Amino acid sequence: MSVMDSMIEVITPFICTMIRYRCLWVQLLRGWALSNSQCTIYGTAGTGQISSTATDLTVNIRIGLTGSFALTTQTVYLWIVDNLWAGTGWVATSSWPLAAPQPPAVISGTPTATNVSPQTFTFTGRDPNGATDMGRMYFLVNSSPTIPQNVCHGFYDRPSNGLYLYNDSITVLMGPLTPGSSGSLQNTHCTIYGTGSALVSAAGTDLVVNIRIGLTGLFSLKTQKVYLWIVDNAQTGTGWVQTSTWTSSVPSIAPSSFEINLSAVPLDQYNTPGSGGLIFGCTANTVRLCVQQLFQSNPYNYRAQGVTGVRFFFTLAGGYHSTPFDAAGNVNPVWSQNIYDFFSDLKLYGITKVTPTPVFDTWSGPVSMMQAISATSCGEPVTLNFVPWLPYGLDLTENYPDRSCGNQSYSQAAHNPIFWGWTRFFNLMNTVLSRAAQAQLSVNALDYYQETNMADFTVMARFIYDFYPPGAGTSVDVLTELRNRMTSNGFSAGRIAPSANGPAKPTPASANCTNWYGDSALLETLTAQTAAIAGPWSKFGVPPFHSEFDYSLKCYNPATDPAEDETMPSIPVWHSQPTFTDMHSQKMYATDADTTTFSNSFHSLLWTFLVNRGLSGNDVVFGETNPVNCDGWTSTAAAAMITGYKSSTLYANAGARVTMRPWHRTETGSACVSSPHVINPPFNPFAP
Amino acid sequence: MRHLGFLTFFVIICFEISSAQSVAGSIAGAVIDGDGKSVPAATVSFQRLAEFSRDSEMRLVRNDPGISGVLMSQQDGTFLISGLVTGRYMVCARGPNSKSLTGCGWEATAVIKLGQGENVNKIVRRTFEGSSIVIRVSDPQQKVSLPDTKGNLVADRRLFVGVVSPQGFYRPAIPATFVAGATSTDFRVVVPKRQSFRLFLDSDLTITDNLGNAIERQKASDFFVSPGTSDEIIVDLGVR
Repeated sequence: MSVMDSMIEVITPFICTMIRYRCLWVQLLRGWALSNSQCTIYGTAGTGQISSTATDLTVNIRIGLTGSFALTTQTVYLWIVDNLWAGTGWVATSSWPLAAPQPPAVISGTPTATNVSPQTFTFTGRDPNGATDMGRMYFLVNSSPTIPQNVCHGFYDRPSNGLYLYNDSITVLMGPLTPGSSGSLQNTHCTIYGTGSALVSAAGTDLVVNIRIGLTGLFSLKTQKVYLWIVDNAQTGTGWVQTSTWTSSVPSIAPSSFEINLSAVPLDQYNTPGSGGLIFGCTANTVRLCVQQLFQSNPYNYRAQGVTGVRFFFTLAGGYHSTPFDAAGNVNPVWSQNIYDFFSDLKLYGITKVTPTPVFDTWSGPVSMMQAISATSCGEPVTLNFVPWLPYGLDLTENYPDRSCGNQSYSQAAHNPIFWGWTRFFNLMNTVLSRAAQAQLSVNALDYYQETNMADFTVMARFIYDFYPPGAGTSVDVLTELRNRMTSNGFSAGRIAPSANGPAKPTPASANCTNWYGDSALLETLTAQTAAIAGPWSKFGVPPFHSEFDYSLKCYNPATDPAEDETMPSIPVWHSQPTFTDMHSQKMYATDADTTTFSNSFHSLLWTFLVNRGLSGNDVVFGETNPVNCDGWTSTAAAAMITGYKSSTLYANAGARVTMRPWHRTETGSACVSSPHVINPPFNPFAP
Repeated sequence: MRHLGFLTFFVIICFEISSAQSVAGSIAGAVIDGDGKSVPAATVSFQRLAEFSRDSEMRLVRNDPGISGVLMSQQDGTFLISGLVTGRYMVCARGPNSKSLTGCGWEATAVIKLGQGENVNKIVRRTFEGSSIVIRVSDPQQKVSLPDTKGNLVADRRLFVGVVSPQGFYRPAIPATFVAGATSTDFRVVVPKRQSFRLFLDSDLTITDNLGNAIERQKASDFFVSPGTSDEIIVDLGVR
């Protein structure tokens, strides 16, 4: 639309304006807008401003031309009539050189590429009809120039100098937010910040606006594009024009597999009406329906976030709604059916791998199942706590595994007088494996005894080979028995992989030294487990170490420390090493910089360990770092862990074989956040 | 075993005292041999076990790696480890003879729980005189696969040999350096004299005694080895 503010000088208070013969005579009444098909006379915006002196009358009239009439050059004529009806005749006062109104154009959006969030974008639009002809500058952050639900979409309204943002479902407009103000607008996918946003200029033909946008949650993990669409006062628009590419600000770990921890799954209640509340944040009626939400129906389900694997715990004696045995010690058929339902559901929702993890801790059953029993341990009478699922006793006060005689405890600590025995456990694991096979899932690993520390607690090695002195019982080759069951169910025996307890936490974060085993002292628990599995080839347990300096590590100096510790045991049977290495890496420091330093050191040393031990072909887990604010963890600390990992030799040499497995709990009462949750950066499974 | 001198002992004790936040305690006792005689200049090693706590996930978190150190017994075989903080201590002793063995390797030895400022006395630690058992395995067809420096071997041709004491202590016999083309391999383990041990074989191969009888595998067998008072005995086995 073309508009001209005309100043018409007359000598009579009766005012008419005619433009050629097509514009009707109108009477100006302040506040009105009078239109025909050729023009509009505005009663506001300057029209009607009248001043008069002794001889002169000055009037402003705001005129807009419309339609085809506005497409060619016009001349403005004036004819003044006085009170005696004497007229001037038409006098040309102005030439109005009109042309076809030009559409606006998107000139630029800078930066054109970024991986920073929040990012201030400078958007420039141009309209030959003037900057003020551009009414709205729409923006869209999405992978394509469409506006589905759940994107970042809004606009800058020039006349009101306001920013607006649509909600997730694009049904509610939030705003206005004045650029430069301290407020913000937010949906699930992005935040528009007042601070950092600004109307830079609206002069001449260009409109320049800064808009500060931050991406959030899952949306921030994927590469996005930034689009602009400018609409002028005539509602002519540019269409979507891509101005920028916005790659994730998160360091990508792709390619790798991505596995979510569910912690303990209440398998007893899987199909029980009213059980959905066991999953924190779930409003469905059953655990089973909650699992559907977790992996399929929730907009933020884990599959949508790229998760392809599931690690889960199950308790052994009803500790968290999992009772796999009946009174006779046989696998409960209902439990067996429920875990099959669980596996089948996961398969249906697109999960391909599982890592079953039985719980051997004290919470695997009710407290009433723990008995304080007098026993002989390490040759001396002692009272220990016993639970029937463990082959050894627990310290009476702390419930630590029995270490009554330090390294000797593997063979000399009391055997559990109320132990269920291994057959029951093997039957259970066979059920789990056969059910996984039946559901056509693969087993990424069988973490059958999680977070071992066979350095400080050598009795834990009974989970590899439960050794009895002659005449005291029959030794059981636990690892081989489990491997046989993996093989018989079609899975790789090497995937029997007990995880190792987290690394020692050195001070400073960069500290490292070599332990007696010849590996980094940070990896003591993994080294000890490896040594135990190697049987007669190696001793395990607490090795000789020295204490001249304190990194909180058990450093070994061959020049001054004993070459041997005769108390360190060996397992009498050799086993090949697993093909899957799982040492949890959840350490965190007060500063993210230190966390990054530690992570880099730890993961590089882990790679060195794998190379030195001939295990460089192993698959590896980046495990149990919590990516959300929980139990002292923060998402930025988790990002710092990833940053350190990405600069490690493990990532450089074996990144494609690393499973990312962030920690998460789903149990109501234990979980920090409801499920499913947005697995915040840094666990980005997507390629940039 | 390397013996650290008095200076090292002094340093260790000072370290303990300086790091202690509480009143220091001590452990005192004597080192004797298998005949009950005092053992002077025995190496007494001690180790405070690591301390743990549990985090919110019930995970064991090591708060303190513990410490270790060594000192020597006096002429009368007594020892005193002082300046110790509260904790659980493993204390072992080993005689000065190169074939001496620590009792901690062959008899159950409970840790000592030391309370704040507590002085635990009359601890007795035994040492044993060692005897070498050489298990000579004849392998004319070279079936046995010995582990390389990384522990790699051909699994179904492995042979690990060890002994089990009546108390249930297992000790592997270490194979001599592998010689290509060798038709026999010596496995060696040092055990206390005057005790009897069961052979423990881990192998998929058939291993026989010198009469050609197969020995049980993957368990503490009924094949006994008794060095008596000899410094070294040789046991001949064969691979069938």
